Amino acid sequence: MRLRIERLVSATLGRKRGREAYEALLAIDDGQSDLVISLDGSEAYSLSFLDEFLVRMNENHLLRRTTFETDSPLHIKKLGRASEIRNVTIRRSIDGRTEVVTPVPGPTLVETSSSGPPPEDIN
Amino acid sequence: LISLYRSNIGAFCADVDLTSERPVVDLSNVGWIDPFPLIYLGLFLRYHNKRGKYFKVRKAPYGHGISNYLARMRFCERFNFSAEAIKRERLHHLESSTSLNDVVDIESSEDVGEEVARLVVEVLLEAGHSVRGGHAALDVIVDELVDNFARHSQESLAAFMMQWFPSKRYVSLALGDCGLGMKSTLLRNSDYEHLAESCDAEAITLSLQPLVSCRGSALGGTGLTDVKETVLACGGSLFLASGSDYAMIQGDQIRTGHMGFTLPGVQLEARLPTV
Repeated sequence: MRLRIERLVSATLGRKRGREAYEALLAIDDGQSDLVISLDGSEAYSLSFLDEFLVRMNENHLLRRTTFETDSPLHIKKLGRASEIRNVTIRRSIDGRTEVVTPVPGPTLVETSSSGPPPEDIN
Repeated sequence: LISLYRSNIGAFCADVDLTSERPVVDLSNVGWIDPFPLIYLGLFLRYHNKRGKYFKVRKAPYGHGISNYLARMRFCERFNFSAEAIKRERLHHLESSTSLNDVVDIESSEDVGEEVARLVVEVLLEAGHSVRGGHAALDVIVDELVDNFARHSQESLAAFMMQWFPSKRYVSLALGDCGLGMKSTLLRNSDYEHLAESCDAEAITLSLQPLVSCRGSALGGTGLTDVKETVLACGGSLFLASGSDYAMIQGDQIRTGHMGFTLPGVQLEARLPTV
């Protein structure tokens, strides 16, 4: 079954919408067919939305039947970040073939502490 | 005249004599106040006011210092809106409690993040501006920040403002509450009992990591992580204060230290470069 994300939810920010998207997906899923979900109908995906949506899908074994469609580097990076944080396998389709989204680690920050007042800029 | 920045707002609040029956906040010689210290100062007043302190706020005569700014506090006059945008903003102001004409109080609700994010993007688009990363980045940052307040603060109101600095080429988003704060939020989870003896900076730093703030539930704990990473991807900076300490994230660095004053809750500012 192929569907666009906007069929599931009107906005892709926040946990509430992630839960709504999951519940909308459950309502139309037949429990057997592979799912292809296009993400390109929305410009902004928050990690909270994806986390809520993907974790629920994974818990109920929908994620293993799902492939996400998107050409957006931003969306692919967010999927990769969600995959790394939750240690789940996420698949996406590219040029007619399916590949696993590469997990994306968060940035590494150098920590310093200061006894002086807060800075306006670090550099 | 002095200026109030995040570097001196803690010391400014510390100088207020809270043992006095009617503490004096002297703004009569303040010539400039940035968004973060404005929110911080407002929450300082609110926090103590709710506990029975009635402040005497000294201001310069109208037309001097920041008196006009404090009196009006209309977002449109600081943002150089077109007439149409002003009209639209006033409409928002009438229709919604989360207008952006002003330093606004945001009411905690499940949808408030999405609503404020939509308004912020609309205001910037109407004014013909955007930030690096586009409105998708703004949507994510504002939604996650406001949603984070609604989920964790245990306060019904937060204060929010947005200001564009054309010469410095950035937009400032400042948000604050005087609720639970990061350390107290984490201490509700027995996994973080060790923080009881730690400084607030350690709790702030920990809260920026994924899956930390979800209190042991299977879901939650990605909001501040997303904000931090989206702000950094846009080339911006994030400043968070909670309790006695602050953390500032910029480039590949995170710096922590003391605010010079202890204020409950969380107060923060995201600065995003404009295009």
